Amino acid sequence: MNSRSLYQFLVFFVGVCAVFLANQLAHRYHFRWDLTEEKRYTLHPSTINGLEQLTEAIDIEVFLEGELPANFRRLKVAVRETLEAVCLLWRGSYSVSLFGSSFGRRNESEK
Amino acid sequence: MIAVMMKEINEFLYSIIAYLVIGVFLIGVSIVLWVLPETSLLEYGYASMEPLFSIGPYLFMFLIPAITMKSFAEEKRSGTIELLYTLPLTSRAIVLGKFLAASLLVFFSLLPTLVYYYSIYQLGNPPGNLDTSGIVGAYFGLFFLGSVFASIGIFSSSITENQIVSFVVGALLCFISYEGFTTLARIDLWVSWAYYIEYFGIMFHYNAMSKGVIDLLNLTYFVGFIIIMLLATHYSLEARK
Repeated sequence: MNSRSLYQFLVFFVGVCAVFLANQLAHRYHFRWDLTEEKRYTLHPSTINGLEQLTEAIDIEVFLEGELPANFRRLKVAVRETLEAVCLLWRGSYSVSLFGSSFGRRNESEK
Repeated sequence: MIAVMMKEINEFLYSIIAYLVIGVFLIGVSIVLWVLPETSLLEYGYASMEPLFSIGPYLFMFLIPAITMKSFAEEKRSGTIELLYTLPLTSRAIVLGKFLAASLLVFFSLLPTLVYYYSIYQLGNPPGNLDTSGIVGAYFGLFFLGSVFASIGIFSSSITENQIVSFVVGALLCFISYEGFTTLARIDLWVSWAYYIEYFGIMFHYNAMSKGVIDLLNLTYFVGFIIIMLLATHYSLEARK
């Protein structure tokens, strides 16, 4: 009886480990498939190249808050998403502060 | 497995729950998409389906645990789970069958929203001015999210005999796993770990997918989450046998 429940627990434990391993592998062999028509969420290779060559800290401040009309709300979302994509490449060696949006903060002190 | 799935689907279709859940989901989505001035597409002036994908998770969070709360709790309360165990089925097949039935119901609830896609497609100026492939990606995201919630609901149903407890626990777990981690990551105390804490939450992966970008990382996360939840369900059933 006891060995049976131990076996069940082991099955569960091995399953969880396998899932973590699969996630690690996916992290290593990163593959991204941008389905949007204009490839909106993919940075241009030259942008990536440029970002990799930057060495000093950069502060970005965006002032886009308050009651905005629809087209500015769209712009705000697009700006945030682009900056998020850029931030992913920066990996903490740069600092970003975004007014009114909290996502940049973690990068600020990660440095 | 298929037999369990068919039995569950039949049960859904003979009871009012499936119709109620799909109906509430569609009413909620159409109010947000077309009526409320804050999010209405007619006011917004852009042909996009973004409101559907941002409100979808919050509706699913309550509706999917309502579908799955019955699956094991009721069987245990009425004793039919013993009958199920005597059949030539492994408990793995039972869990998987019930999960597949619930995620099929999620799929059925998403199907009617294609009408909105068609409406927005026609309303665009010129007609068809809509990012179709992006929307396909976002639909994938919403379906995966629904399946993850279904696996959470089935797990919470397997730990109790009471349907109400199962529903409350399921909805809470869905909420925590969807939004909890992202909120937790905002606390300044563990700023340098924020990315990794956020990574554990569903929202992080769902947001990426609902934009229409399919990433291997998000896919493995969703599938892995479902597998862990189903394993936990299996374990909790076996432990009580």
